[in-house]
Amino acid sequence: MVFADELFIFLFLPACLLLYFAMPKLQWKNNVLILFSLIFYAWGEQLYILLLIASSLFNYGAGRLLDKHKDTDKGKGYLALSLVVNLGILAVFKYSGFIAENLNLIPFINLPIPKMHMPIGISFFTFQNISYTLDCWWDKTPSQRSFRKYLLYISMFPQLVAGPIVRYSLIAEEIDDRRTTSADLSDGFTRVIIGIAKKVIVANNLNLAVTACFGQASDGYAASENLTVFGAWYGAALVALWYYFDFSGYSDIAIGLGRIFGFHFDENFNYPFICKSISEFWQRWHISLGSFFRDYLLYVPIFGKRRKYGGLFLVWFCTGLWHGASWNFVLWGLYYGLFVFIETLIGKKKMKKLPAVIAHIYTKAVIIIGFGIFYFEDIPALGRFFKSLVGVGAKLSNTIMDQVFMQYVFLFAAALLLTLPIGKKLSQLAEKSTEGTYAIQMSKIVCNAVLLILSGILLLNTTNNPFLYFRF
Amino acid sequence: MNDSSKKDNGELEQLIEEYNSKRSAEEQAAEEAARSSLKAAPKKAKRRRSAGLASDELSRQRTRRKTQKPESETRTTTAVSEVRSGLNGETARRPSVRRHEKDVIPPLPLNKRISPERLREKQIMNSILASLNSMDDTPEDVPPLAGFQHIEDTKHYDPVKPKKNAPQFAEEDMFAPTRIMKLPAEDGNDTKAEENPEVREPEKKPAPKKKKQASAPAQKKAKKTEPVPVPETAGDTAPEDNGTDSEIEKINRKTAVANAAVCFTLLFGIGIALIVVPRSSGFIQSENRLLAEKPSMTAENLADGSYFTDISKWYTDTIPIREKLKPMSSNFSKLFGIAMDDVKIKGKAQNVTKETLAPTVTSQTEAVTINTDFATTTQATTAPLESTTTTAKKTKKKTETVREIEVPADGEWMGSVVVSGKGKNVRAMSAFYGTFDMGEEYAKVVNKYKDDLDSKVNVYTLNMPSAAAYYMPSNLADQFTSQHDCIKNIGNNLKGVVNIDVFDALDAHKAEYIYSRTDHHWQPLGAYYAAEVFSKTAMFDFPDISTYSTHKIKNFVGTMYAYSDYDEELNKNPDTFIYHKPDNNDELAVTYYDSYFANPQYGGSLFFDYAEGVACYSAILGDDNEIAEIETDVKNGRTLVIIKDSYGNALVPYLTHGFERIYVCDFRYLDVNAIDFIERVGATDVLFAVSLQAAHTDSNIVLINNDRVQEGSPINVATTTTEYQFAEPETETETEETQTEAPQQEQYYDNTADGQVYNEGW
Repeated sequence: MVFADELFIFLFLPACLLLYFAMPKLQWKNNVLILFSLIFYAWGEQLYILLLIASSLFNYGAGRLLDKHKDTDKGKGYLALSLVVNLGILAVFKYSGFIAENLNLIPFINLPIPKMHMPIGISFFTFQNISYTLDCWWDKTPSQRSFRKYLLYISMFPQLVAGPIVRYSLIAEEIDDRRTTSADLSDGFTRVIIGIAKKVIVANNLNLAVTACFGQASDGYAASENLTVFGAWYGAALVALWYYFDFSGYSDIAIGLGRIFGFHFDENFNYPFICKSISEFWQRWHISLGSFFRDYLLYVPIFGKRRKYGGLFLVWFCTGLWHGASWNFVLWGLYYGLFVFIETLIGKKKMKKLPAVIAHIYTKAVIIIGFGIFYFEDIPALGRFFKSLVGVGAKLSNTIMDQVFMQYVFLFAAALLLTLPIGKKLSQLAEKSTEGTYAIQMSKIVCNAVLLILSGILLLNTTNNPFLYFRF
Repeated sequence: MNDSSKKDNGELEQLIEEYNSKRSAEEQAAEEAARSSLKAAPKKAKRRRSAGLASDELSRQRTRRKTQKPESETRTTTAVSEVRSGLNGETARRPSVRRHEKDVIPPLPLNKRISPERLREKQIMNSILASLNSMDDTPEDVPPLAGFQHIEDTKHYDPVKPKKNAPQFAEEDMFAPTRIMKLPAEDGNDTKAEENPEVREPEKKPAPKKKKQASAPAQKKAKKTEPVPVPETAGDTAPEDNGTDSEIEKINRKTAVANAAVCFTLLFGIGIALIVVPRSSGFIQSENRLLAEKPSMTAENLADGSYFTDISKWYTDTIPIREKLKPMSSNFSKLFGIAMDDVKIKGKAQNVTKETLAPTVTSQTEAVTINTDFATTTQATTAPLESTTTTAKKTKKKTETVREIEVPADGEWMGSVVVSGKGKNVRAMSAFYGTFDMGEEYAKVVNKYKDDLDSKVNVYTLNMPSAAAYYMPSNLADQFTSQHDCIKNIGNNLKGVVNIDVFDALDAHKAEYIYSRTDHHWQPLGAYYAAEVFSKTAMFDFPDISTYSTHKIKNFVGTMYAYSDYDEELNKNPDTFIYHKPDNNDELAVTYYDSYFANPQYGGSLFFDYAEGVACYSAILGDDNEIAEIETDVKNGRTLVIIKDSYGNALVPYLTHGFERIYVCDFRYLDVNAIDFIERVGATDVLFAVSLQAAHTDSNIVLINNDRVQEGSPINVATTTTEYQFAEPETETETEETQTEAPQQEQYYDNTADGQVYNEGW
């Protein structure tokens, strides 16, 4: 099931809320959540729900064992086993084709390329499982004694398929002790509606503009064959905006739904485009992933003395690879890793001294080019993109691109504006007086109603439009 | 309990003393034991809700109080209330241990002597502190919102109602803002007297049931995206010592409730409406398809997941007002930008390199001579297949097999749609994406047909350009490969096949209504001009348009409406479908077969006059998935087989004077071997009437080739009762007769639903 879908918004969600709030006891509410989450997952994946349950069961068991055998060799063994199994599941379902293709490049090897169906959200819940076992091992959290509650953590539908990578320690207590207040309801709903609006109104339509500039993977990026300089930059900027609204919209829905049920997830996006350095960008973009890698991978003592930079290289390699089983994603990760590396060499103080204009131009250019790399999974197309960025063999612009730009100009401008924390600043200003507060709150209610209805209308048109990150 | 009102403050003190003296040592010991067990209650770390200075202070205070040796006291309220209630000698009620550690406030030792005023002050202070402690919690005296609090909130004790003669404080002080972090002075005496958790805030004004006290007094933010990874914390905002803060909070609370209520209502309202309301079903014009049907649950479609996807599709598809709301969303998308020069590019835009035919490459086709000696052409035969085909041909056929290909779903659009113009001039056309390579492939396939067939059979290809060739705005037209070049390119690659180049003929008449504006097909008038070119090359009779009767179907909004993302301009300015019936229409014997050339339905008509809406184009020859056989009254021994896509339909009415029999098959819906079919029906001429874009589409080229090599022998060979005699080719006689007919009548079929007569398109 997808979030941006009439069936989810108007049938599944009300049914879930009704049952959830009808339950008097917390554990019954948890059971309702588990049930609906399993339905949600089985809706799209049918039998792969067993994979989800098996993976949770395995990690639950691993957590319990690690609790018992803490700081012993046996415990280390169990930890290693759990890591192997988790990463193995990921490798099999997501990367097996990629691995086989690349092994086949070696002359002697000729493996058949397996076509595995990748269950939705496998990257997310696998990482959640890994974070749990490592947290148990490092004693950051006691292990969960009840499998039911652990399953609730893993399968909770707000964050199951593309949500923030929620760590167990974050919500461990809330599983047993939370309540939903009217503030939670209000904020939660607002968040959900904003997320839906970001996805349906902004991201879906930016997608049309992107395919006009670059084409799609399914047609071999046909439109990129006569890319112009303007088209390349504009298209890549569109891709950046498109991914941002798509993914942050989804995260908003996840966080909002979590709020409604009384959970408090951490933020996943924090206005990433106002950053002044690439390191800052990654503190604002996909925060849950960045912090996962920072906490669990960065300081892996593999590289000995060169730990710091070796770890950096490994982390960015993995960040890129996590996004997809294709070399352009790895390139993307390493590309950002390079800039982070350069910035650490320059040092924070000097980076801060950089004049704001230069910092912004530098970061936006890097980000835009980066998303171009992210978009083209086909190496020849990527090559064409690079060439047209600098104007090699490409005209400045052509009529079609001008036409498309003008056709989407207001949407583009609105999307740019929405990347800035305008709403936040406005509400901070307004909250200083009662009239302002009243005005802001009332306008919030009106906005919610309008956005929900508008999104509902727009959703009538689209057949299922899966979120971009579903491939993960 | 209510006789408390009768007692006044003066008596209070006495009562307290009485009570205190009555308490036995054991009770006090029991109290102490309970108190120490409270101390041992696990302290739950609250990450978010206890941020901020105040609660830290408070927790420090709390621990300080806890570690103090509690004296043998009891709580004032229990003492007072029990005295009031007249319970004597009973132990004080202990509050049940709550799961929130911070709610457990150790009992306050009470000084033995305490003045009523001081007591009152302390009560107020305690209530402030108590509400500070329970900042995130709903105050005790407000009934818990059903379902929103999971804790079994049994009331531990009744709130204390202020006595009537109690000194009245201004209400605002009473409900002092919970944010005031004024902590009571920390002198030794008062620390003990500070807290009295039993004394709750006096009943707040009985809230109208709707008013739910928001327990998180954090400031509401209009934009819900929060800047820092730590979400809004309860104690985040700086404590402000002013009355407006509480008003802001009140507003926030009220609006939070209103917001939640509005969202809930919308969500549930629409959700229930969508369950209850009867769903639409059937055919929708705008998308030219049937609406999705509710799937039935079977083991198979549950297992492979199609049940779920179908239910989701059905749910969205059959929403009753969907058709009415779609224009709204297309109008909304107008807000995204500006359409320069009234040109909009819609659909899955593509952007391909333009190719140009090198001018030095002149037409390389050898002049192909048409075989006009039809007397010696193979007759239609009912003999079994093996006797007629040579072994050489058989082996040739067997080396090539059907190539499986993924065909785009019927009607799925690929590529850009350009909408230009306004009002009656608005026109939607698809951009042309042919490449010379594709044209070459198509030519090769047609060449193979020529090779497989008898050398006396004439093979032609007529590839019609699309409207974009003539009507694309000039600045955009330069971006796409010229369609005329593509036609020429096909011609350059043909061997033995005649290329019917209709581009110039249509160009000469482009000011006329030769292409629909809202549909991706041409108008029959365009087909007329194309057929004219064909007739000249193939040398058959071709009567003038004046011999035909004209028929019109109004309110024709074609397929481009959907493909242009429902551009309303198209909907408001529909086409009129104008078609012509030949003068020998009544003499035609039309039979429709299925794609296996079986199950004949005799007595059909070329025309389906009741076609309407988006399907107007199918007024000629109807569906594409049937093989049509037309026997005319012409006796010239020529049999034509047309292998076509939908563009070819419109040609047929203009060919009825040129051939004895015409067979029309759509290459997408042919299940017999095309060569066998052509031979068995005794064709003398084979025409590939495939639109130029389709001829440049890989999947179509493969399909055409598959028809040539696939298995499947035609079951029915054309058997008619009339016998054929091969007369000498005559040309003129037919046309003269038709000219004596009455002048043409225009017939209007007004198929508009509401009878409104729209202006003719164009």
